[in-house]
Amino acid sequence: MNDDVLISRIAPLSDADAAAMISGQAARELAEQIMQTDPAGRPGPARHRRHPLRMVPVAAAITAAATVVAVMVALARPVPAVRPPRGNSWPPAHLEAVTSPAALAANATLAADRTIDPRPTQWIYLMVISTISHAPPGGAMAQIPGTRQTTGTWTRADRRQTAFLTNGRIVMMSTDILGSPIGWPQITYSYLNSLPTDPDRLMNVIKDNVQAIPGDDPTGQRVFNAVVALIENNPALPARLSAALYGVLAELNSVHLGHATDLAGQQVLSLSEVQQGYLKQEIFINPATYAYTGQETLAIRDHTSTGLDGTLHIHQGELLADNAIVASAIVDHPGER
Amino acid sequence: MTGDRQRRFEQVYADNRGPVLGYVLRRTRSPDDAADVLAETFLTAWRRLDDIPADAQARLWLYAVARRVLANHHRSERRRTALGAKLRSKLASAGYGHEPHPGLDDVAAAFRNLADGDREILALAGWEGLDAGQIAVVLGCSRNAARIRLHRARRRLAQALYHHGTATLDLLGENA
Repeated sequence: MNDDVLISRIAPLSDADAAAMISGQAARELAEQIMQTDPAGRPGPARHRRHPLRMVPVAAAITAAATVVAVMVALARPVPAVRPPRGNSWPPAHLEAVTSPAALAANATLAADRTIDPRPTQWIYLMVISTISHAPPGGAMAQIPGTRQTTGTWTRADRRQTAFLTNGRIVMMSTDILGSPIGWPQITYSYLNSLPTDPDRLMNVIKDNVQAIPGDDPTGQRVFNAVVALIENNPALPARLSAALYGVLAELNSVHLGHATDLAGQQVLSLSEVQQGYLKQEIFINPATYAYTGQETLAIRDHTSTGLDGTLHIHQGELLADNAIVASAIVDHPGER
Repeated sequence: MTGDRQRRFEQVYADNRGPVLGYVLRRTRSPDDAADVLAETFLTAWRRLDDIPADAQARLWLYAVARRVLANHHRSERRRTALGAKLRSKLASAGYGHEPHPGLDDVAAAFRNLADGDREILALAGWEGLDAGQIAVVLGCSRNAARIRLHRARRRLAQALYHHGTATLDLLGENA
């Protein structure tokens, strides 16, 4: 008996066993879902890579030439959008100096009180730039510094549909096949609006949610990842909920406030957590509007993963994710900017 | 054009979904992870359909994708895909895996204690049935490098088995 045969006899299962497990409806469903996605790889349903951020309300119908010009100018510059003020003064008068995650959350709450969230049937347009991964053929590994990819998506505020531009054509897609980010049982419009906007109560909900996640990650890390997952996947999060999510992060001792320049050159605030001793996960927040503006994942130490699926070497300084929202708008129809 | 593309994908999917799921399930105990990795692998295939080589080489290409997706999956769990909900549910309810062949507990223990790289190259040979040339394609190295790594991994497995006693050595003796 040679050692290949020995190894084969300790295989957890055979190809025939596996083939029997992916047959019939389950197999057809997966193939059909995949073929519904954008083959160009732009943000689609497969990965929650739509990057929510700041929104600017655009007039219901953008017909005036001056408005069109203004919008085009806005899109041409990497300037974060500004939340629409409810009152006459903006920014709010009682913001405090941002010296801690808690102060950031407090200011975000004040800003949220003066923000008009989009109506359920409106659409949120986002233009996001990101760096690009190398490592063909298998998906994202370390990003290539200096590379840029720009994507544009529209997501209906009630999350019923999403749309993207491909080959000059707007492709509409139902969000039925979009699942929930890790740590959330669902992310329907009604569910998100039912979540508490008090950080303590929201923390309890999240802790309860993340208990079901397999693995031995610390609870704080699970909470951090769940918060980021919700923020990065929902362009239409109610502003008060966003503020409460920052408040949840502020309650984690592992989360730190920072000041950074994002991929688009924007000066931003950051909330970060170092995970597993080598990976700095950071979200960026607009210091004027307190809207989420992007994220970065950076290896701050060399690291070698352990797992049966092969050794993975991560080197200090490697970017594993890097993106920034450079334009956003609330519009009435997909395709409008 | 779209129809041709869909037909090509469906053919690749039909020919390889079982072996690729097998590859994944043999390397992760989580049904959720397995469903995610399978979905992500074939999503990559859909997006890079023109890059997939023809015939049997397609499977090696898919193994290479699955290997990298698995590695990535550990650190990107919050981006869990929504694709394949039925498959996820099916895997979770079915249960899978079986006990090693009777008398091979020592082999299983020695294999588990090898370094990741040794385990993977031995698994590609023993579980996926690949030769050195095919392993080279999956790992992205030269055929010669794959052959050397495979030889070294086998030697380290033999050393590990030696420490587990003569019964296993008898098994190895058949390898002479």
